[in-house]
Amino acid sequence: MHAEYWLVKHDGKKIVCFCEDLTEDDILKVIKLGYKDIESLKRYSGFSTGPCQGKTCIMQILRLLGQEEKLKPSDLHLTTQRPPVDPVPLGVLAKGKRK
Amino acid sequence: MRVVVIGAGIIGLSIAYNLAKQGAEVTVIENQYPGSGLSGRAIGGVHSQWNNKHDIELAKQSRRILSRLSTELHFFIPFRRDGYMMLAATPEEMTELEKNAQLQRSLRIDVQNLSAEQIGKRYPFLETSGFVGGTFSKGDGAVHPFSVVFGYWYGFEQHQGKMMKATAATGLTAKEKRIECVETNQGKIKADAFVVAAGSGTRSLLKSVDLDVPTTFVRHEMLATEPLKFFLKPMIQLNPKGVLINQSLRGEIICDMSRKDDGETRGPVSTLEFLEDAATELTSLIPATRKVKVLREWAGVLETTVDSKPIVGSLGLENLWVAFADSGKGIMFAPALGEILSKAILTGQVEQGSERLLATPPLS
Repeated sequence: MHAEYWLVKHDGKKIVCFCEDLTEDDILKVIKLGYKDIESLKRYSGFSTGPCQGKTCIMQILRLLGQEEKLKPSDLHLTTQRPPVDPVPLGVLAKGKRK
Repeated sequence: MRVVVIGAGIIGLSIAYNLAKQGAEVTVIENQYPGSGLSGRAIGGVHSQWNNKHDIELAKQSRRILSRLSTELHFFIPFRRDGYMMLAATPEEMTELEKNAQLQRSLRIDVQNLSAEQIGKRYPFLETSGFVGGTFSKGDGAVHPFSVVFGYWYGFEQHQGKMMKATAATGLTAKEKRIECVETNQGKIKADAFVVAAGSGTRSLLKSVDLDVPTTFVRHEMLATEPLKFFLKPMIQLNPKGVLINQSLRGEIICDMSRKDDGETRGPVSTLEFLEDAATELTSLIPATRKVKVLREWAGVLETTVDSKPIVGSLGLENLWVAFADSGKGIMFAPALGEILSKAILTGQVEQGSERLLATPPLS
């Protein structure tokens, strides 16, 4: 993804989470509803739960949360990172003979 | 009446909401964020197929409440009542399931006994060689756990409840058979009544007032796959291995397996062995999932009581109430426990007919 994309003037429809199709406005709305910690925000909006598992969106979400709540970067933290790093098919993980 | 609820899991929030609704001044103390413990890690199965009257009654009442909760809270809670199927991997397990089903039917739960052949015909995506039969309850189903947590939280705040996030309760102070205050990292908090709904933190908290709840800590691990078109209609539980399989409303297949009793020492850690075991179980039960990708795995620590029955009640101290549903039953019991316990806390007495639901097993 090109860095310039994020510099586009905010028009309300700027997508920040491609997996779950969430725009900047969606995230701001959820923050306004009161889900102001990153974990609750994740679970209410659904960002970071798609195929990228947060690798694409988390920095954008932290930026929005920091701007909106006037938080310093040191007050923001990442959500817990879960294995696997990339999606793995069940058939690769399963034991036993491949049919 | 001022009440402090320790723990913003599904049980704590249900009690807090019901108390606030009835006019109590309620503060909820939460160590991290609402639903950060087991409530948010659960896969959301709601079933009434228990082996004792007490649990069946609680689950039955809870699923009735869950069905109407969206309208009550003005918060969408998707409770999908597509049924819940228990599969038996061995003939002994099947006998056990049939025995339980008989008890459930006597309590007016609609449960059917099914042979492996019948199940295979009804759900063609299942590979029937891994089980001998099962029981199916059509009024059960699954709910999105966080929607219930958020729903109760929302309802609670609508009734002027006070939520204290990132506040750790470190101990209770008792004086003459009464709890005086709860100590937290934000200072002491006084109240008229205290509810301990701290999930796996319950035991250590109660030790500060010399109460010992005998429990063991079991680590569970869960995985979620990429979203698929909806096909997995009943939620499935494979006994006695304890494999739970559900498809969420977003389409992800979620699988939960009980691991070992090392929850206390290891904490909620994810392992590669689990991914392999769960993948083996999933692909042998639903062969079509071989190409489906796992997106993430996570873990949770379940605290189970010695007799696998919930511990609910005042445990001998006048203004202390403990609500501990035992090993992942929180989501199935919380709606009913919240209504029953909030009335008991406010009036000081248990409503007629609900005594048996608050029966507390003896403590060590």
